[in-house]
Amino acid sequence: MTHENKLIEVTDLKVSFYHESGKLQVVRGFDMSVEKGKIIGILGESGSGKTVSATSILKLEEDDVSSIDSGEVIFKGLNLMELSESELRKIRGNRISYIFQNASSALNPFKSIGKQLTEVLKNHKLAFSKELVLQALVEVGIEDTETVYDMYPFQLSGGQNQRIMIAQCIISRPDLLIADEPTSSIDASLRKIVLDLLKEINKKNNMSIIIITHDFDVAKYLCDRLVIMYGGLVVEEGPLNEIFANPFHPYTKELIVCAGSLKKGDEIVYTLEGSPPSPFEFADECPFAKRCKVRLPECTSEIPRTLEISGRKVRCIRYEKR
Amino acid sequence: MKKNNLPLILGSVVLVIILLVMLFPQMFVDQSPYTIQHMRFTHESGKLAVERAPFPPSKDNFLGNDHLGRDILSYIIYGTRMTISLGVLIAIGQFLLAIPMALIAGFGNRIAKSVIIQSSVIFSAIPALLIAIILLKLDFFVELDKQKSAIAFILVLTSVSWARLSGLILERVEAILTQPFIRGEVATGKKHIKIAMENVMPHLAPELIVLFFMEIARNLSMMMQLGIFAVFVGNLGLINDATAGVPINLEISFEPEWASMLSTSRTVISTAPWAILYPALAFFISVLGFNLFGEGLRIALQKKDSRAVLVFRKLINLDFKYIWKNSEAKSKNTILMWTFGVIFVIGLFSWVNHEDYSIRFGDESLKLPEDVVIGTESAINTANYIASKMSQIGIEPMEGKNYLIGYDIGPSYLIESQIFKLNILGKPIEFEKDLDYAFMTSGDINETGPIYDATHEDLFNTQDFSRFEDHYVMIDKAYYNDGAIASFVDNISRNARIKGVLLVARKDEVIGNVIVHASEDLAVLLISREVLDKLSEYPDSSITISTAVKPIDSIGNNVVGIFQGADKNIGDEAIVIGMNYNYLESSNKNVLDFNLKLMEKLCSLDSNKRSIIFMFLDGTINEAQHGIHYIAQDFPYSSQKVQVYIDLTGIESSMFEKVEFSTAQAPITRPFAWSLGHHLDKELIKKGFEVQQLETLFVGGEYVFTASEADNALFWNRGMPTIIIGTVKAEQNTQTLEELGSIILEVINKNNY
Amino acid sequence: MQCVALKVQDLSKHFIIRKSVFSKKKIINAVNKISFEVKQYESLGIIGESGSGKTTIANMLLKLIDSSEGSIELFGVNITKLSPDAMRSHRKDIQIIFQYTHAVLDPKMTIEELIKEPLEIHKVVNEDEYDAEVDRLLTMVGLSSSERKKFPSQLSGGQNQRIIIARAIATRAKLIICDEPVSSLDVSVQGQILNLLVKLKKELGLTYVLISHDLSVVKHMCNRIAVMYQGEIVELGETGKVLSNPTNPYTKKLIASILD
Repeated sequence: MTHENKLIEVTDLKVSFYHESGKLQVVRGFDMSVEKGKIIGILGESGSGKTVSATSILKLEEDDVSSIDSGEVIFKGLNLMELSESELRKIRGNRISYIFQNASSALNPFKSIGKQLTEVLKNHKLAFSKELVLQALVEVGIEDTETVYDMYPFQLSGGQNQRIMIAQCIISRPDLLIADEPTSSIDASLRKIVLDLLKEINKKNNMSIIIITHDFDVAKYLCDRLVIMYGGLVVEEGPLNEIFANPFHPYTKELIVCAGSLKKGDEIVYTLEGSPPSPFEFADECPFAKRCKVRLPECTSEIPRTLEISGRKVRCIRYEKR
Repeated sequence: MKKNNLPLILGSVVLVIILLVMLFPQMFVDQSPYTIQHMRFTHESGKLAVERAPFPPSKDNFLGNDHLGRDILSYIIYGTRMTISLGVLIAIGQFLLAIPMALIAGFGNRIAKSVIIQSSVIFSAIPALLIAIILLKLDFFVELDKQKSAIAFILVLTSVSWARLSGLILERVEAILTQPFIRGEVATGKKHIKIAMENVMPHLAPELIVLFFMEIARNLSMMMQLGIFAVFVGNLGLINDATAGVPINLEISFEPEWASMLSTSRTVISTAPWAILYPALAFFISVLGFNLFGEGLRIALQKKDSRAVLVFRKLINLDFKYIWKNSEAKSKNTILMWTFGVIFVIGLFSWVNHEDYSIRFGDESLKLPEDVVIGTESAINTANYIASKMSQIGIEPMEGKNYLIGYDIGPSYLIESQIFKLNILGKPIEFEKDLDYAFMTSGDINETGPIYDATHEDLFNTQDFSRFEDHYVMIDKAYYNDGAIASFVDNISRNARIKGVLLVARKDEVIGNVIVHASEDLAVLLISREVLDKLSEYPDSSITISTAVKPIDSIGNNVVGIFQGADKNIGDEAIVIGMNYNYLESSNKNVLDFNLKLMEKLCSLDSNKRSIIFMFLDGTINEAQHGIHYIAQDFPYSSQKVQVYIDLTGIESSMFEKVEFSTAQAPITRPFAWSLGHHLDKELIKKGFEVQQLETLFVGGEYVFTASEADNALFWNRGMPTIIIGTVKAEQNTQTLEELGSIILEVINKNNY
Repeated sequence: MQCVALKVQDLSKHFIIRKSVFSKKKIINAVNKISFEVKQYESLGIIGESGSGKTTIANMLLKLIDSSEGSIELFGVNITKLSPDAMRSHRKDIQIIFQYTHAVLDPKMTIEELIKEPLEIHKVVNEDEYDAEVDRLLTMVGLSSSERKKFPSQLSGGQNQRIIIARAIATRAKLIICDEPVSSLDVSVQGQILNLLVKLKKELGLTYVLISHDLSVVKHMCNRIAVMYQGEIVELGETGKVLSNPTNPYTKKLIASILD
């Protein structure tokens, strides 16, 4: 893993939200890097800080709502944290595209599909032509592209709109695509198709993708590497296969058992007691300590440091001892 | 980051000030809003200069006076109560109508919904202001009295503006009803009304509360606009000037109220801008205050998980027990602290403010005679006692050193017994004294004789007096004035040997007498019109009269003193108070006691700017010897400087049922007296007195009291505006003097600031 | 012999859409002539993608919306044509567990108020027993009574889902419709809720109609399954049989979409 290979590298990102009675840190330590042409999954439950981490990379959160307390985001040698808003605008949607969770509302209902896609190119001062748009439509698996070009979003099915959304994000040929829960608002029967599409785009264009998801199956199906978040912290990071074969962090282990249990058809589903901590409950301790079955007394004394073990990272006090 | 809720703080400060002003206006100004100072005298380089209102702002009148001479500051301060209450009441009216309608419509009632929509369409197409102006300018509304006018005002403004509000609320209700939890509540089996009260209202509440304060602000600005168009509560619409043939109305309200100030002063905006600027500013500040408070509340209530919502739900469902039981100890303390704090502050204010207007009399240590009648020894003693009391209090005599101003009533007798009867065969009719008849002139007489009815004769041109010989001559007073009557009686009695004169009383004239002019050979009687009718039935019958009299001193004594006013400008303006000190029945000596205490109290109040002249009038029990007639002929003070004469001589009993009251001789052209009269009227009604107006005749643009000439004396002889307060004897004695006295004290005191 | 808890026959719901007064009426068959039976103590899973009419069925079963055609029999009582007032007394027999989303519980009510509400409406217990009953229900769904004074926003998604369950069982309902009971919950919490539902079914003898788009959930919970596609039931049968041997093309597609 050489430095040149890294498309984007995030180190020690901390993000806070303003709250009635002060500031609340929701991301307390986020590190990740994306190599060119890889799919990285950020896996975490609600309140783990996965979405905020991803949006903060592009400084998408409003200034009066949140603040980035620390961190460095190096994208192709540029530190995004130091760029001005206008410079960032040149990167957003152009070099880095973002698919939001409620994708269907991102399309303008009053503009034809062709127009909307052309606009993306125009906005970023890229060369535009109908051919480019039609090509993008083909890439996302739309048949009869000529007809669709003149249609409006309401004339298309949910699945087709999802594809248009993706087309909108890839038409500018970005280096990185960030997809936040791309399958959560679509039907089960379509899920696999959309995921396959993303996989295909990744392969064809050598486009890096960050997938933000809470669904273990999605991550497993799609990703090369995984970043597992819990309580505003990255608790484990590493190649997907290795993590599945040999999870380090107790949380990862539990999660894998949980997800497997329902599928296996256990009469009583294996569960993890309690619920993930909300940012209000964050303290200087291992966030998972309360639910951890192999907890040590030291777990609650401080936030564990990130340890590197054979190219993987884990944030657990147990590995420090070895 | 915790930010202070600045709008809430600013808004609350303004609202607390407004509330204090509403509750205790007297704390903020020392002038009564009813006080009118139309003219002001200044001594510049030895010359007397007269200024007319409007006066610009000065040290005494902080915000100046308007062209009617009313002090702007006190008018604004006292007007706060009415103006703000109207704004709040209209808002309450709107909400009472708008919320239920919006809820009913929100739950799918089509009729309610279309009523809301259609009404708001109508009122947005035709401006509500226009409708309000048209409606409230109708004669029907203009002629209403204050209370009805206020109610009409509230109703009209409510009905023109509720629909817009209801539409707003409906929109919110519909939005809330599409929330997912409503589905849950229905699935649980909850009734619509309960969903409305327990689920919709709490979500609506923050907005409603905010809206409420914003609506008040809106209503105030609406009232301001209406004021400019001369629409306000209690619009009198007096005709001020009709010289050009076009009547110009003086739009004036008898109640302090801001909108009316704008209206009254809009004609003088160029010459007296302060008269319109400050009321407008008052409107502006309150509108701002209510808006800020509403905005601040919105910020405060938008906080999530506010416990206030829980309390609110219980509150609208009237579950107070729950609130108390479930408040934590800390908040319980806070509630208690606040409650006590508020009570304390209010208590403090009312204590500081409470000028003691109560009068206590019936003091046994005072040795008053059993009866006091003019010319008797007890009258002299009492007059001297009053004089000594005056000098004790610090009241100075008017002229020279003597408080007593004597007047000659001519040789007079006190009647000890009297009979007047009509001799009909078989059964003579005996008339009742002081009801059917009264002696005016008499000596010790016992005679019988026939009547000569001269009621239909022209007595001016009588040459032959022989027909009156040995008769009782009957003359109708209704056709002649007093001077003519006196000359007839004199003429006839000199030219013919008549037995006496029967004067038929005018309508409403009081019949009653204890003192008669001394005359051994001529009796003059005043008889009622009923007696006239009776006598006319038996034209040939004779009458018998007999009296036993006791001579009295022929001098009456008015006890008069002046309590100097403290103000250098208006200190020599005077309020004259006339009181009686004669009485017949010992039970009524309370009245004298009361009068003395009233005087004492008035002088002890610390705010006497104008002078007060106290006149204890002698002979008040008898029209002919009434001290007022004599003092009216030779008034010991400049009549021009007398602002008002308050006639209390009609107070004759310490227990009474009704109050006799009239401000007919305190016209609006005499502003001080007029406003004092209105103030009195208002207070009397407020305190629950039953008020009986005196009968008047309208003569040459002014009113004449018909009951007693004494009532007219100072107004018609001296041009002093007169307010009359008296008591009406009745079977039941439900009212007491203490109460009446405190009103008189309060009103005089407040107007004399 | 098991009695029939719910019998649905030819149930349909048409929405009439009219874009403007001039345009033609368009009739959308959200639910088209579906029939099924649920015996007491069994669990029927209804699976289908969004827009297939699952939620419309739930709304019709609870009479939150009126059905256009067909009949619903609840424990032998035909509730299809009942007035809202008459329906109110039947509501304690049929309850719903909603999917936890924002504001599915009144955010301005406390947990205590929320659970007390069905008790008050249906007079399940005496007034002086409310507190004890709220405690009992909270314990039953695995919450402590210290949560009573909190607002829904102060609890996690899983805890809120438990409150929704507590409300549903408060009325001693025998038939409970579960509308996507776990789909918005975290993986580590989903299992807890599913286990709770299974536990309550056993303890209280409940009958479930479970609506979900997640095959694994339905598979876990239900002994029978109905597959819905475009407002119609395209396949209905024993869970095992349907999943191992699907006959309908849509069912096949659905099974194929499971990620491995």
